[in-house]
Amino acid sequence: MASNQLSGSLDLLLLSVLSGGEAHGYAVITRLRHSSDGVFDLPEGTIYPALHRLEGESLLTSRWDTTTGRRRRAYAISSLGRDALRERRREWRTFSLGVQSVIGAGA
Amino acid sequence: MSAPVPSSYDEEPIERYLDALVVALPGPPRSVRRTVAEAEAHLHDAAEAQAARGLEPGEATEQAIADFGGVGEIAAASRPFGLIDLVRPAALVTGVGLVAVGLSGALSWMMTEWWGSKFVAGDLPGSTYDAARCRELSEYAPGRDCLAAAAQHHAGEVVTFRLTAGVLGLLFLLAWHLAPRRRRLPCASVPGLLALMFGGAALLLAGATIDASGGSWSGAGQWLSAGLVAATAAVAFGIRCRAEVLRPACANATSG
Repeated sequence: MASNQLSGSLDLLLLSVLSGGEAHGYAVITRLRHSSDGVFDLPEGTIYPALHRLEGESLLTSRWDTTTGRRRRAYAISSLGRDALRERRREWRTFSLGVQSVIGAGA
Repeated sequence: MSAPVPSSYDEEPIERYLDALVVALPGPPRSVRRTVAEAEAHLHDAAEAQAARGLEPGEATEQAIADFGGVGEIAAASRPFGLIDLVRPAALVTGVGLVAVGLSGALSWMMTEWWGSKFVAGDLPGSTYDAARCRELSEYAPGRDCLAAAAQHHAGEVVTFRLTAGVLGLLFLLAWHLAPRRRRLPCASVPGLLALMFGGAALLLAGATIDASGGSWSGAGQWLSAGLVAATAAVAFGIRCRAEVLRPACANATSG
């Protein structure tokens, strides 16, 4: 999928993935790829600035995790992030229904 | 003392990549250190996973770095909010503004139909035209006196120019719709800006309308039509702005 198509929805995708539980960046991208059957295949490193921005907006929290020996930053969704996720899911459903009704059922 | 376990992938390319990343990343040192530390863990995890899939050590690292993305790409995604991020919202604001001008053109046309050209674009009492200009104007409205012909001509211009602006506004909105989304502006900022913009315009246009009303409403329609559209838009965007501000996630989330 073109990365510019994906970039507008990246926040929603990251929040959705992290609503399934705390994860570090590599696990987030792996979950994203698996749950989309490989459709969402963006440059993996670009999720870090997005994760940092979401944390800056208090939608995520993070901590250093060294339990597996390698030092990784683990991210978790905050309660504000869950509110934002609900809202953005609603917005996305409205948008996708609108697109579907324009491009038609045969598309 | 036991010998170190040999790595299943080639670590040196990762070191070189991280060196380049440190230099390229924008932002304060702490933010750079954090991104590099995360990149390092990510690249080692990814290379390990590629090696576990059966790739040769060199290939495993190469694949992990390719999947991570170029240093330039990561640096671009990490850059702070820039002017380019304002292009899409600017297209939205310009498009909405021009469409409002177009709507005021349609309203001006209705006012011309209801109350005549003089109400929309009539000159102030005492205005005169020289003979040459009157002849020119009479070509647009044969059989009418000079001031009536001028009003009819100018009312036509008001409607045509504004409707043209409206069509241009639709093109801006199309560009806004098709342009890729970049960073979002702070929550409620776009409707807030539009509410302020239309509110200010409505006040100015109300003043112009009141001013024209002193001249027996001659030409007041062009200001009144624009003022009514601006006031309606200000209220609509004010309501939208308030709704966005009241959303639970608005305090820290973004929109636009």
